[in-house]
Amino acid sequence: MDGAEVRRIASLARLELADAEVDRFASQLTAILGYFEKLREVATEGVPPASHPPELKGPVRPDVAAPWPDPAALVNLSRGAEGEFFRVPRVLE
Amino acid sequence: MAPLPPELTRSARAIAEAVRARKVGARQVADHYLERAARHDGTVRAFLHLDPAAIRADADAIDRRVAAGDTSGALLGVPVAIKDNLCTRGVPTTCASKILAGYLPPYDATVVARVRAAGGVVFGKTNLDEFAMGASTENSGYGTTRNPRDLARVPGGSSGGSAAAVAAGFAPLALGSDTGGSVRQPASLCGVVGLRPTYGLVSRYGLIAFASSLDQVGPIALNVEDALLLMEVIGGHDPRDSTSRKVDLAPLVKAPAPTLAGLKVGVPAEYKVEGVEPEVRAAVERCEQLLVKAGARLVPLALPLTPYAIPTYYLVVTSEASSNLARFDGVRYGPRADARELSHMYGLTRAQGFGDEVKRRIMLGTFALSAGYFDAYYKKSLQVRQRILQEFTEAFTKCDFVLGPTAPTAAFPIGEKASDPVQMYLCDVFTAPAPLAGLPALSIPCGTTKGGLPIGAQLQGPACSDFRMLRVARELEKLLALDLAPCDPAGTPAAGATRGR
Amino acid sequence: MAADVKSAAAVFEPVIGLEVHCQLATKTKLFCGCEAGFGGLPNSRICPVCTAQPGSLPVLDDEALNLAITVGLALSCTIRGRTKFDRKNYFYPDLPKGYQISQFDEPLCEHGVLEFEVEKGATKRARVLRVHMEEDAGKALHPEGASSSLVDLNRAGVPLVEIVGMPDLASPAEASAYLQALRRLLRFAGVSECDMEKGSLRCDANVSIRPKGTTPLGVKVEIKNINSFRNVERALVFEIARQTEVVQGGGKIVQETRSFRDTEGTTVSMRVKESADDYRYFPDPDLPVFEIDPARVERLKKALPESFLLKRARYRDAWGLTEYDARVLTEEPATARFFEAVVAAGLPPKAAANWVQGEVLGWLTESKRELESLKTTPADLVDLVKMAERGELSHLAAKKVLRQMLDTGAKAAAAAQSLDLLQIRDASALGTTVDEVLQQEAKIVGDYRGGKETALNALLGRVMRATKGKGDPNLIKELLLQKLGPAGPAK
Repeated sequence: MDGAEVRRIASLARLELADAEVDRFASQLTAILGYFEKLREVATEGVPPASHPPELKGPVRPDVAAPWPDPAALVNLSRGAEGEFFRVPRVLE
Repeated sequence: MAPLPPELTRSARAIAEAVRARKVGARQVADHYLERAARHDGTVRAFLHLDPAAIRADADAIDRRVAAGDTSGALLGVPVAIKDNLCTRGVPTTCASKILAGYLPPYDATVVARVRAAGGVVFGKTNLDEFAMGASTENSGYGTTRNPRDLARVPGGSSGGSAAAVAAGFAPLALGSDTGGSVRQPASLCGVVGLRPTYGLVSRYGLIAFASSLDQVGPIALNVEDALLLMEVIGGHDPRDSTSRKVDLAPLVKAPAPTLAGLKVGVPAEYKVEGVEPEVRAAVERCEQLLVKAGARLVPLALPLTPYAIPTYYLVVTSEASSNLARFDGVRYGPRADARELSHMYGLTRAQGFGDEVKRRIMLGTFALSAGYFDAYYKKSLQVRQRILQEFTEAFTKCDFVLGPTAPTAAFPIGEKASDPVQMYLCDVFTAPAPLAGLPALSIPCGTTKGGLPIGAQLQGPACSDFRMLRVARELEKLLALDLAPCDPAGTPAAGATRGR
Repeated sequence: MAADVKSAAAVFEPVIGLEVHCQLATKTKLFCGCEAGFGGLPNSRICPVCTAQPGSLPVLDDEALNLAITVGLALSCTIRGRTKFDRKNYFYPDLPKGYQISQFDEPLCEHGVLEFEVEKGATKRARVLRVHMEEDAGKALHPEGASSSLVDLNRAGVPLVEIVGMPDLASPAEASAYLQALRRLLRFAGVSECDMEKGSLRCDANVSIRPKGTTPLGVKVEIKNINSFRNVERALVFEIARQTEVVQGGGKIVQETRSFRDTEGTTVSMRVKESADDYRYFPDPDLPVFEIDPARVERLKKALPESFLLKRARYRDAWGLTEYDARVLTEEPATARFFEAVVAAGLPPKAAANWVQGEVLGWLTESKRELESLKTTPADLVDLVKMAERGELSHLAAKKVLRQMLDTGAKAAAAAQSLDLLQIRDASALGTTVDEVLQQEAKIVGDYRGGKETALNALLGRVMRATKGKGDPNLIKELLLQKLGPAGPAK
């Protein structure tokens, strides 16, 4: 993984990296990905991917409203609480 | 203050019974542990947050309840230290990350609520590797926890604070979380018992997610009996967690204890490979011999996918973590970097809030899920995961439990692996497979190195065999006849391991 | 440009497919217990789950699953026996978790079809690729000139289905007709309000052009922010013209997302499709696979309300309504429900159609009200009509009484009483009035005696006037004949 790839990934992940970090991560991530290559040794053709333990099945919840008692307190957890809103720096389109 | 009778400091169950019998007060118990923490946590640094006044108030409330005649609760008056990735309502919860500095959760995690409901006293928030990403607690954003058995060494991780707190006698019980070994490995390195339950047996609601398909909350205790006690309290279905199993715990808890006679114990060849310290290997072999002497049968096993568990594990967890940690953007909670434009605010907040290991994992996961790499990395890892699961299923047709070392080494010196991520990842070689298959596993102390460092033995079992496995471990614990008591911190703190970064 | 485009229309044809988001009419959000309402104070319907507090977890709403399956059934889709949820990862302040829970490669419903009317009587079938469930995002407000944006998460987590249509639509008019039909279908199925103004129905359009008569698809452009039915056509007409101009000018269409600007009626480029759009979909590990019980699907299929097209045909063919009436009465589910209730309460369909279509709907339009808010029940309406049939009200009076009922919510008898419009059917009281009129109108009586039969109607009119229109005309006529005998000299 080269510096450009690290920058692309970091930008997707919204991490602003300093130049020195980019170089360090590039070499570390390259080493780790190299180690991951080991998985190529395992035959997986036709093997279904296991994203969850197999016997678990999605449950459902009855459609009954259970309002949170103090929504304002949730807004007030934010550094950008402004009245009833969460304020954020302007979105550039 | 009346001192706590010494036998109580070795058993959480004994504390609960003594409080129930009004032989000691919950306040007296709390004071004992607060006093120990006050004396020793300056060097061990197991806690990120400890509020003596709040703990005393909770203990007093228990005492009033007992005085009024209500002596219910399996954990009556028992202090339980809580890993700081479990939400505690109104009590700082940081995940050992700067990105959650000052965060006060609006709710209690289900396991925390269950501890409280059982009469337990929530006893501080313990240190961890940031977002539970690590095997040494060195990745904490708030300084390294030291191993109370040797202050120059790591306590393991990521639940290093919880394991150290129990080992050092700051609390008789603690909650940890285990994604790829984060309960068992620190338990092993600190000389305490740690259980990773079957996936879905304990609610994840309020556990700050690292890798959702693997995370499980588990008990850490001085002995198996106490781990069982805490597991009974925290286990069971939770409608707020869609991955919670709809199983009735009672029959599992009450099932007759298995006898060691005739028990088939699987011993995989892959667990005796190079890289396992000879002393660790010898201690585990001693367990084998004790079990055989008690009538168990050793079943040689081949688990050839064992070496592939780590890369599989790291692809799964980094992928999930890259998404789970997207919510830490400074918008709704946590610190927010000063920036005039949104995307700059995101980038700075996250760059300043996350430590290096977290950044590495977020980037690895983002990469593994990104267009063009998904099949080769993420999907491939899920396919290997499927095969590992099949390998275990097959193994458990031949044996009841699998025995091996929890970690390849005893506690290593602080700083030794900190700069080499891959070396650190290799600590998980024996603990990563079970989570990939959703299986329960536990670590119990099984001896010490010549230098006096604890060694842990790991039992792994089929799904939902948690309570049977705990009972087998209790029998093994009896055979081992180790002195399972909290220790006073020993050794000299490593130089350079300072609080904060 | 217009002239060029006209000639170009002979050369190029558009290919259009719509992606429609529709809010499911559940009480709660898709994955938490917050109410899924509209309006109210900002951030008043939020909880730890929909604000993505650390440690919170999603649990699927059962009713949302039912309604999504119902959408699939209404569109004749195949319903999957197993479905799963995936995460669509991107950062935006209205997306608390940093990902949207959606469905990627195993949508709940697939391979459907929507029948819609292109012009009177002619219908067309467009294929539906898939219907999947997902959660809505919140709302980010960008006050003009302000240095910051404001986020309201009331809508975050509200259940949606996305209905992805195949590129089977050949003109902006077809696209509009498709959307109208889809809306009506969903409203009649009872799954959604489908109110574009409230955002419970949203539409994105994919459009490309190709030389007429060829089959390969051109490069498609996605148009977002189409916020009304009228704008579907406006946006597409503009975009097709724009693309035609580009191609005729020797240019190439770029695959991109464009935003519709309502005020100018134009589309402007939002972003060009490239790798920056990397959503990193993967199965949500917080939500295991869902198995859809075939019995559930069967139950929902049985409970599926009759579609408006079937209703329309039934009103016309079985009940003998005119095409126009059948159409008007199936515009809205509430109208059809009301009409059918009136029929069920005892009015013949044609009479019911006249009263509902002519009077009730007329009043609603004039008073700018919704049928849902009406106090008058179908039974009230039937009571009124029966009164008229019994002769207690004249036809004209009955219409006046109905207005009063609709205005005030009064029952038929009370409204008739309060307007003093009940017909006088007391023979002795009317007899007195008749006698008075006969005395006053000696000239007309003379005409009648002289053999002028029509003079009887004039006398009837005089009596009606004297009773202020309340006299029962049949009874008056009877009394007049009794008193005067047949036209011609008195016997």
